[in-house]
Amino acid sequence: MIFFLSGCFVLGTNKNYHPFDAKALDKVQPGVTTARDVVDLFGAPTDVVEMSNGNAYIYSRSVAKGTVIWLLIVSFGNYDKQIDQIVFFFDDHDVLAHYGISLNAKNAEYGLPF
Amino acid sequence: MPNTDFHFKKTTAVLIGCLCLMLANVGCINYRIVREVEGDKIQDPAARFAAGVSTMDEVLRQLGAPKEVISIQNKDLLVYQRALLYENRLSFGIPLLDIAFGGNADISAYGGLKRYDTLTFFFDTKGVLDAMVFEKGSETPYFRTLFSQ
Repeated sequence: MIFFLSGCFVLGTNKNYHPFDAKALDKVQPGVTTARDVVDLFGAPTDVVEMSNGNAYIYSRSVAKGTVIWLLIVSFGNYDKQIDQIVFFFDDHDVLAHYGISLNAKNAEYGLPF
Repeated sequence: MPNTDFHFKKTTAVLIGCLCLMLANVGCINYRIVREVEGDKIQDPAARFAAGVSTMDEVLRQLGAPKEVISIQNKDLLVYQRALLYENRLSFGIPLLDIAFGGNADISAYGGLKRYDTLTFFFDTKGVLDAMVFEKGSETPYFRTLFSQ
């Protein structure tokens, strides 16, 4: 049994991450908050997209967890990457129209590929 | 009465032989299974949103931030996506031959398939849903898709 279970086990984490400030999110209000306010609160956006009637500022963070197991002649690898993302949509006057939040980075898991 | 002693010794010898063979080939034969996931699960949106009725604000509130935001002529797109990669790799090599004969036998085969679950919303300039497309690529069968033309 020990012979068959001989091998290696590796866990790894890749982070492009620092959590979004929950207090900063509370200050965001559609119809009131401007693009300048958002930049002051969250810093430089990861990406900016020009929309048909305004702009979208995208803030992205990610966490990836990798698991590798080498057994005698079989190896298994699993890589799970999850993302925290906030997208702010501003109108032509740079006032926040709406926004979406997905906070999934905490759900990244170590595991097996099946 | 059958000679159980002899049978036992033969079985033991075969087992030990197999173990020695496997031990000698550690690092030479390898079967690897790899899975990569990026993004959260995506559900069919048909029951929740309707073209001409739902707005961008409703979609954002229910589904959160999209993976991508795209603007094309008079249309704004929100793209939600999850990528799922499966790879199987079998490799077989006999380095001892390299020492004995100066040549190495090395065979490997692998197949990788990346499938996407993609949900795309098309909005008009007023932010009203014009159309939506949902494709659940992860439900396509692995081997049949891998070996299809």
